[in-house]
Amino acid sequence: MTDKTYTALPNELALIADAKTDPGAFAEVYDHYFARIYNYARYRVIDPVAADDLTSEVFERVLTKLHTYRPARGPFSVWLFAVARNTVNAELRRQKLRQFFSLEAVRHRPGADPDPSEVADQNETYRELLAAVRGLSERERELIALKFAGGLTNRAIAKMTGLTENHVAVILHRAVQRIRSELEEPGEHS
Amino acid sequence: MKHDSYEKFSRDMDAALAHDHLADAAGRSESERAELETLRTLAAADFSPESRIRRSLKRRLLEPSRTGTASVQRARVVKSRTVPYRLAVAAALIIVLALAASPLGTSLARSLVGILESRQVGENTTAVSVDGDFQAVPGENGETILLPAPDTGAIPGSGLPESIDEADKERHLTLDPTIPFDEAREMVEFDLRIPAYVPEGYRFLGVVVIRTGQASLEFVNFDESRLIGLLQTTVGGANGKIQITYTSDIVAVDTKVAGHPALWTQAGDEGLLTWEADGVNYQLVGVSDLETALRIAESLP
Repeated sequence: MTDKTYTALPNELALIADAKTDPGAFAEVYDHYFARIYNYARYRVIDPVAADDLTSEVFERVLTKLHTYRPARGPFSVWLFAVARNTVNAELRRQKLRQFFSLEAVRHRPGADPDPSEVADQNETYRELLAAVRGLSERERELIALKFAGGLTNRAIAKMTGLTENHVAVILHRAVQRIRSELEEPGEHS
Repeated sequence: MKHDSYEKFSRDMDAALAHDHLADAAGRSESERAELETLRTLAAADFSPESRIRRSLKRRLLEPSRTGTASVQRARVVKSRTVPYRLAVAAALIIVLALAASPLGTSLARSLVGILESRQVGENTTAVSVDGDFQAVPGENGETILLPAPDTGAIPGSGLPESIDEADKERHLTLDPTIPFDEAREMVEFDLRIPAYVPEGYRFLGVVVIRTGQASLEFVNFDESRLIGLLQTTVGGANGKIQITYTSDIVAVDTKVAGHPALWTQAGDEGLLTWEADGVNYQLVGVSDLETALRIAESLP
């Protein structure tokens, strides 16, 4: 089991500096953050294939934008998750656009997401957890992802989202309560 | 819940993430213990073993023989009729993004990528910079669009390079296709209009141009969780109207927008307002009530 709180690699800054000219130097950083980015994407979009796509897109963007990262402005993980957040938000906008053109929003009642059983997950606990997270609002889901996949502090999340630190805690608490209720009594609260 | 309780909750979250057993269940109420258990479940969750791209993506992005991604050079347009090229890119991107959602669309999406990869788009000649796994072609505003590049550096007529791993073949483009209003206005063949009013908390995001006779204006709310879209389509020709499948859940209301007959359809809190004026069909989505929809629609100049 891995400590998911913010932990930088011991030589992270040096690796990132090297990676600006030699992408191969990024391999260790990639290994360190891959699961967090994938989990972040998974919490946001639930679907495993979409999460793979987004994870790929995040790392491609990170590598092309790496030269813009300034260590003095904050930890790499916060910058990385800001890129991930922008990438996922852009994809969610595209999804809404696709729904717009196909008018799925009108054909199907809102909130009528695919049955949780459709979630391709072999692990029952994870399947139930993702089904519970799917029932959250977009904002709650985003904060759960930043907190439990990104391991970011409430302060970092507040800065990234424009919320106050207290508001972040309130939203997270509410979201955790809803997840807990859903895990205890599936379907009762959706 | 008091401020102290939120602080305690935040400490419990961080302890759960650190797998710190200081946040144990001793001395807590049943409700608090259940909450702690939920935090631990969230903290322990790791879906990443289900990822199918972990190794292939690393190989593609980081292996020495494929190190093009981080050093892609900005492409220069040698000779270009800019607007048609931009239009082709914008239209193709929209279609690729839409097609990518369906298995059937994959091959068509590849063909479009092939079109984008080719040096000649009609009379438009575009410089293509090839570097490693990607080639860069210029998009609107001078930014670079990355496309999978062939290993040989030659530009194929269509399809993707075979060297890309199977799991990564479905991905092609990463460009958000919205463009500024003034630019979109120059690209379409009709009078694109922007409403003077949108609900509080929304901002104009940009325009998606589908073709010269069809464009969508997007407005997004401050946390980017909701989108309002206003699709404008010239009436007739190849720009067919969207068919609505009516079910018993849908409420339909006849109304008017600035004197023009309009139809409001609603399912739950999602609505669609559609009307025609001056040879253009308008479809407004993302608004949950007719009053707001009419206010937006009637604020068009």
